[in-house]
Amino acid sequence: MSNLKELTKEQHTNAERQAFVKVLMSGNINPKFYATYLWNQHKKYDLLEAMATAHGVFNDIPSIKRKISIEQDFNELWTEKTPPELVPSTHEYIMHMRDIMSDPEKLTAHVYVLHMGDLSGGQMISKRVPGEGRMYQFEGDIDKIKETIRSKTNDNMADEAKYVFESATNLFKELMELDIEHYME
Amino acid sequence: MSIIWNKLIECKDEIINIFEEHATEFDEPGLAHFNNDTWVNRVWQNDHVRRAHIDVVDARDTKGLWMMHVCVFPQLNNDGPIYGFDVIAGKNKMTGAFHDFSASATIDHPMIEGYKEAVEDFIPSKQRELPEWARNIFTDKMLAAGNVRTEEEAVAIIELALDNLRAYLDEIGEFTGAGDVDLVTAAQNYYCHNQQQNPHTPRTMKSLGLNEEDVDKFCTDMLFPKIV
Repeated sequence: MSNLKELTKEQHTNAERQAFVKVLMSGNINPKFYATYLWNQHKKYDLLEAMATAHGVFNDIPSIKRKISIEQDFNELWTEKTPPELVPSTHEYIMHMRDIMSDPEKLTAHVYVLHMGDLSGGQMISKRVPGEGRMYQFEGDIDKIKETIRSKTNDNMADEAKYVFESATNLFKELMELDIEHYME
Repeated sequence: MSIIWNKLIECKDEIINIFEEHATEFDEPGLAHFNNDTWVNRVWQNDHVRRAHIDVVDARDTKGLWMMHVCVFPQLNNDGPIYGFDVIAGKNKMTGAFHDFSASATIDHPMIEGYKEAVEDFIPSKQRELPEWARNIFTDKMLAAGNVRTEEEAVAIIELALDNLRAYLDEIGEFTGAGDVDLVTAAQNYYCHNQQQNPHTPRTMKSLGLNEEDVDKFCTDMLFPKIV
């Protein structure tokens, strides 16, 4: 069992303190703005899940993959022809994945931050966002899934997990800098 | 009559011959849906190549354009590069031609070094600026030419792509067994992910008059399918 939660506490807390999270939790986030967030998340999850699957990270928990549910949530909310903007941190994340594609431990650190987040705080977010919120709906016992993810982690993953929290923080900041008329309805 | 189109159609026939010589054509589930009078998709495989795909859209009569996409993925225990050749051409010019040996699991793979030597002296008259998704996956010697109007330059690009395809299929077998399956899978997925970010692909295919829904599905499921 790892101490990853403690080791990444500072970065985790910093991500949660961002203004975007307050908008997300307000219950009034503009659906178009939320869809922009989903589109950026989709790019990250799609790539991470394809790479982590290749290394067997999801072998015992295949149903936690989020790519399709994020896609469905996005398609429900986005009505324009051209997709929304990808922020710089999303591009940077895609480049970063090239460097870690051979390292299942580092990929697991990403699953620890992203999927564990959806299974934890995501459960509160799900009731406050527009649309069906499929991204936060999981099959099976959530506590058991979290335990399975936790059992795959170790302290050596801390640096990579910190990177993922910092990448999320940058995403939140950059989303708030987009030229969007109303962040909330 | 169009010299450029004629040369490209000869090139397409030659690519099919090369695939026939080296590999066996197979029925890929779902691919038949994307075959009709103007749109042709065929795939081959052998012990060293898991998917050699040629995709041709012949919209010469309706839109004055002809497009070809060729992509060869090695088997997952082979760390060799991914072969790519894409062309779109109007009657009097190639508006875009792209060719590369893109890295899979091994960035400095010997086949990539060989490719770089082969293209070293080849400088198209107009080099394209590459977007970020392309810089993530293509080599620094990727051939990216636009507005190719002369027959000489078109033929040079075609010959280069054909020579490199023959060399690729002759050499790729040497690296079967040299790749870690998990790593090659992740690397090929990385390539596909970045290719899927190319906004021009669906836009171009739709401009050829293909059904919009079909194009969207094709670009996700058939053009650069991730292994998951």
